[in-house]
Amino acid sequence: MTVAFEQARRYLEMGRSRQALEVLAELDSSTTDSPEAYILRGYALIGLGRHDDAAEAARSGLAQTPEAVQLLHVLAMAEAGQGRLAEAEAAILAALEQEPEDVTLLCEYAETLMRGAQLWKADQLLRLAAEIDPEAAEWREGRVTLAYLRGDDHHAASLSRELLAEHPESIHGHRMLGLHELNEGRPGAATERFAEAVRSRPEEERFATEARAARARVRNPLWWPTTLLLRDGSWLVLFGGLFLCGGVAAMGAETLGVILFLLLIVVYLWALIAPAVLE
Amino acid sequence: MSNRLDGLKAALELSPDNHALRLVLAEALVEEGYAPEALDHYEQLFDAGELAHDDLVLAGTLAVDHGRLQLAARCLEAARRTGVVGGTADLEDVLRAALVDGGVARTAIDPEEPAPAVAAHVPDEETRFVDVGGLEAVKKAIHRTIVLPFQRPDLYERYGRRAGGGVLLYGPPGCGKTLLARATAGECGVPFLNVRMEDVLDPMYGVSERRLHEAFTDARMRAPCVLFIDELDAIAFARRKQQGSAGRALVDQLLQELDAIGAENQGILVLAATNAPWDVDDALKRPGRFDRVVFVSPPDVPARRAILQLALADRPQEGINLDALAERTAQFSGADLRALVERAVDMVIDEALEGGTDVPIRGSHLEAALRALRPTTTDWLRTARNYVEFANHGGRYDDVVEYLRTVPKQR
Repeated sequence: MTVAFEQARRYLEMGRSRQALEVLAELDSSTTDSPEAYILRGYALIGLGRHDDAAEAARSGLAQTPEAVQLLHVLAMAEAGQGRLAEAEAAILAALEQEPEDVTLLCEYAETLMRGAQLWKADQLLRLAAEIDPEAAEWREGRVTLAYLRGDDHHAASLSRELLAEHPESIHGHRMLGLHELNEGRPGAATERFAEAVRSRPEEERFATEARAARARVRNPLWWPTTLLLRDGSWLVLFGGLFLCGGVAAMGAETLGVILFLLLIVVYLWALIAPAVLE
Repeated sequence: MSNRLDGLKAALELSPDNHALRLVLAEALVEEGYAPEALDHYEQLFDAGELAHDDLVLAGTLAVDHGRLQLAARCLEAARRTGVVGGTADLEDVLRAALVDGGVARTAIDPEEPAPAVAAHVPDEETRFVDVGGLEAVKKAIHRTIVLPFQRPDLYERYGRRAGGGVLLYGPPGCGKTLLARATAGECGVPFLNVRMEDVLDPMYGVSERRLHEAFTDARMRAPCVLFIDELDAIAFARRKQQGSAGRALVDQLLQELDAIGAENQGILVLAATNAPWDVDDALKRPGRFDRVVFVSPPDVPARRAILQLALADRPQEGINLDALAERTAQFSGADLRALVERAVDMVIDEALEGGTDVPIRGSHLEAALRALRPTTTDWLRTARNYVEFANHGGRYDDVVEYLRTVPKQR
């Protein structure tokens, strides 16, 4: 049955939780209740967003092997997925007690803390993870999220670029950078970033939705004023417009100056309300 | 056993890593008629990479004589790889004869505990294109690009084309990719060798690669043949997406095997199928490997009608409007259509059991079954739409784009 486990592991690596579960459902009675089966089942259920079932699987496995680190990891992820952060923290601490230098566990713990708004502590954990394994993608991804949660979008974007330089396939890196580009009024660049995420995981509908939303901002002219407003130096455009209106009026074409001024006001107001109207 | 052999064995026990000594012992064992034992030593030397090139053919021939066909195939493969000329063709002939004439050969991995029987002779595939419902355009394309070059290599060689090479079939699950591959082998009139994910993957380090190599070695022995790799994406998952190194080694191995296509893979047509071509390592889709990519779409209306007709054949039926049913089963895969008929049949059996009389399958049964089913291709089509919308660089999946134009968008 180790071949079945290998198959399930391969499916999980490919992000195909449903197929992994199908393979695990075929296990015979001697292996279906083994810790390995519970671990793989747990990860597959988490992949499908069935956190309560994943927690159940982890608990069943832990009843047999109470100190199995991976089962504790599954339990922590499942509890966090259900918003039960205290239970998630207890599970991850139990796992870390046995594997204090496991980078995945440290980053998982940091993520749990970020969900509970304990950002300083999460930062310390990510720093520790970085010291243990400077090559790992997990702590870099965590650092991007942390910077974003702290409201430092520019730093988050810079960390995303660092992450992608080291790990060009990081979906998290592409999405976070895409979000930053979108917020900076660069929907074309954002679409490219979100498209990279779709390329890696086309089965994830939310990635495609993000990419389509970004692309709509490029293609739909009604979005363009908002895009312009979001860009650095947009105030220069505004003042330039006002100067133009004043200049036209001063040259004797007062009516045209007023019309241009009103047009500028309308475009500006539209830029402010467009996201609420179009989304 | 002679004193000389006993002495050599004792010496080898003292220094088991002395490969020269092991070779002397193996030769002495052959001389004195203990070939099976000699083969064990040859195998150990082979595994250690210490079997001299000149001895590969000798050991291979000896292995054939004593039914150790797997060892013989490995020796032959190594002899070809290292460029040994003398005796290679003879060894191939005797090995081929042993495989075919033996009917079922026993491949002794451990001489004391023979391995399970391995079907040595694989008959030519009998499935034909007529057995595949619909997919006329795909069948025509495969016939022109694959079957004809295979049947008329002389004609194609005159124009600089050669038979063989790799073809990747992709599309939603249940739409007949495997059947089509079988039928391709049938049309070429050659055996069909199927390699599935579970035949290859193994948690032990290096075993997956060895199994894959053995599958190709086996195919080379049986050439001309079709070697079909099912779920290629699982065996050759894109290396850029992989975190571990084990899967990468398997992709490297597959690349090595495919790159032998010009020489050692002469006469082998490598077909592969996948539901997720975007997850297959890019290197495999380059020219010379799986450079011919064929989209196997869900069946169209005439194909659905043909599949339904085939599924309902030889069953009692009454007044079924197949045309209407085919119209109403858009995006149903072949497997879905067969499931639809089976569900209707279950209803008929229930009715027959309740009423005590035979009931034919009617349109109403199929209608009721249809209400309870939805096409399983929907998820695949949604994923494919996402991919081609944002990542169809170079137009590799233009066939999918074309097909998706005929499919209403799903929410």
